[in-house]
Order: sequence, then C-alpha cells, then structure tokens
Amino acid sequence: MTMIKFTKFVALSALLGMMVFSGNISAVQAETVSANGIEISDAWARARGATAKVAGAFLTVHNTSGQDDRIVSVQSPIAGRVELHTTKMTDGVMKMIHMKDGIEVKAGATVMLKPGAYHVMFMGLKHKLPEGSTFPLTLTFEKAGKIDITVMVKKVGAMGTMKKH
Amino acid sequence: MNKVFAYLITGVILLGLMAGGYVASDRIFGDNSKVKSTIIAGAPQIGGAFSLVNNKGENVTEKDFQGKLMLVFFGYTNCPDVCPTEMSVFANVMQELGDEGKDVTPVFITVDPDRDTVEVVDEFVQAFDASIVGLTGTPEQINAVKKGYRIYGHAVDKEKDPEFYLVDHTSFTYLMDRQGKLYTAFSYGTSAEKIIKAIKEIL
Repeated sequence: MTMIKFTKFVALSALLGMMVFSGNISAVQAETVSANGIEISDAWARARGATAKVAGAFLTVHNTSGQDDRIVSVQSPIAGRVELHTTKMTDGVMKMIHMKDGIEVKAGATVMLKPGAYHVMFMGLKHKLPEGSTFPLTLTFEKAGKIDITVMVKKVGAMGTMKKH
Repeated sequence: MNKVFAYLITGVILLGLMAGGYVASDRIFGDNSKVKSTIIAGAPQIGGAFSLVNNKGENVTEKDFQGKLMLVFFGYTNCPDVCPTEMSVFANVMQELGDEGKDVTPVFITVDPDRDTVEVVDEFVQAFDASIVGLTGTPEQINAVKKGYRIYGHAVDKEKDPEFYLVDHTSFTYLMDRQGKLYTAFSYGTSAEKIIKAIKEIL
C-alpha cells in the first residue's frame, strides 16, 4: 500500500516536473511553415545510428485559422510507417499510445509535440539519422490539408528547445 | 507527503536492520541469504543477483558492478521518447561528474531482449556516453532481473506487430550503493542535478 502511494507520489512529481520544464521554452533557429492558418515550427528529431529501426520527432503547431483542426496523419520518406503517438505515465509505468484519431489543435491553440508527450513515431527507418542532417515530414490536417516541414536532426541527447539549466 | 516521509523513515530503519542482520547472519550462518530476507520481510527489496550480457558481448553478474555506485534504468532501444530522454540525463550526469564519475556505472537494461541484441544495445548506449553499460540477455535472464528490480515490462500486441511493437515499462531510475543495494529511486523527468546530488551523498 505504501509502495503504491509512493509510486503515485513519484508519478505526480514527475508530471509537475514536466509542467515546470515546459514553461522553460526558448526559441531556436528552425524553419516555421505557415499554410491555411496553421503554423508549424521547431521540427526536430534525435540522431539515430545504423541499427536503429525507430525514431521520434517533435514540433510545435499553432492554429491561427479560427476553427478547430486536427492532425490526422503524418508521412515521411525516411520510414515505412509514420504515426502519431503519445507517452502516458501511470504509477511510474511509461506507455506509448498510438493516436489513431490524430491530435486535435483547437482554434487559437498551440500544441507541442515534445519529449514525454505527443511525438511523431517513425517505424522502419530506411537509413540512419546523423546529427546535423534534415529530412522532410508531411503533416495532414483535417481542414488545412497537407503541410510540409523540414525536420532538423539534433544530437542524440537533445531535449529540443528546452534550456538545459 | 507524510506517507512518503513515513516510507523514507521506515526505509532507513529497515536499512539499519538489514545492515545489522547482514553482519549477524554472516557471523552466525556464513552466507545464508534466507536469514537476511526474513529480517527485512515486507521492505521493498530492489536489486539483487543477475546474470546478463553487456554491450561488448561479455557475460556479467551483479558482482561485476559491486564496489561502485550503479545508476540503473530499464528501457528498450525502439523507444522513441522516454528512453533516449533518460539516457541523455545519464550522459549529463556523467559529464557533470567528470572525474568523480569513475566510481559510478550508469547502466541501461533492456526490457526487450528479442530486438535488443548486443550490437543494437551497444550502438544505443554509446551514442549517449561511452561510460554507459548496456545489458541484454535471454528472455529468462531479463525476466529475472526485472523481477529483482520490480520492473514492469510488457510488449503490446507483439503478435500483431512483431517488428515494431511497443513496450510499456517502469520508468524509474535506481541508484544502487557500492554493495548493490538500493539507495534511492528517481521518477522519470528527474533532473541530472538532483541525481548528481544524491550520488554525491554516498560517493
């Protein structure tokens, strides 16, 4: 019983920690793409080696269109399968969930795909992702349609646009 | 919060009992582990013996890690988010520790031995920091170490998606002392600074 309470406490602290972290965002020099009222910025992924079969990418979507929209699918030539996933933590257990219905981006809202939360999951990488390289990613929105963005490959330990200290 | 405090106090008392029990049982019974486990019945005992293969292909046991602190995380290399994040924290910890890090072994243990071969684990850990030891093994060996560390690891829909199945797993990082006993656990998202602070308490 005590152990369960403890794990719950730890899980809650981690969530709070993430919330504190997410307030610490600073802009980086990455491209911003705007189309049909949808703005996508800071698309990045972590470097992966030759034996890696999967990768994750993160980005920020801002909806200025005045109507609710939804990312329904993602595609990229670097992998056989590309999906939208999220990370959920329950009592210290991390679970990846395939967002089969996509990710909603309400009118005026900003949705961040970031470590520990939503991410683009690449399955069946066709080649390694060296640090400093880039690759194309296409997001398909329910209303705004297809939007292409270039993903920057950062070092393997990158935490995105977060400040380190 | 009170519960956590109570838990910690209980832990400290039990650790004391364990130490006492260890000395007593060693003196009276030699290496009789049954006596020790009776004394600490009910305490969350984490760690223990394991037999695994490291990222250089060598067979290793818990004894190979004794004498140094051990920072342990369980994960899998096909994990796109949490595991690389935690490994980057490990890398930061080791880089910040610098020379003091020679008495700390950061360890990544896979919960996905079918896909995480020695080569795959090697490339994964080496990408973060040369000091990180990656461990894999047979499914039986991995199950045994998961049990010892009370790790939940479950492959989701492995039959439906044999190549790219996901694995739910416990995301704690454990700090083990020089005797291989649990010192403290960190939840996912704990900063490198906090981990370093705990390491320095027992370094």
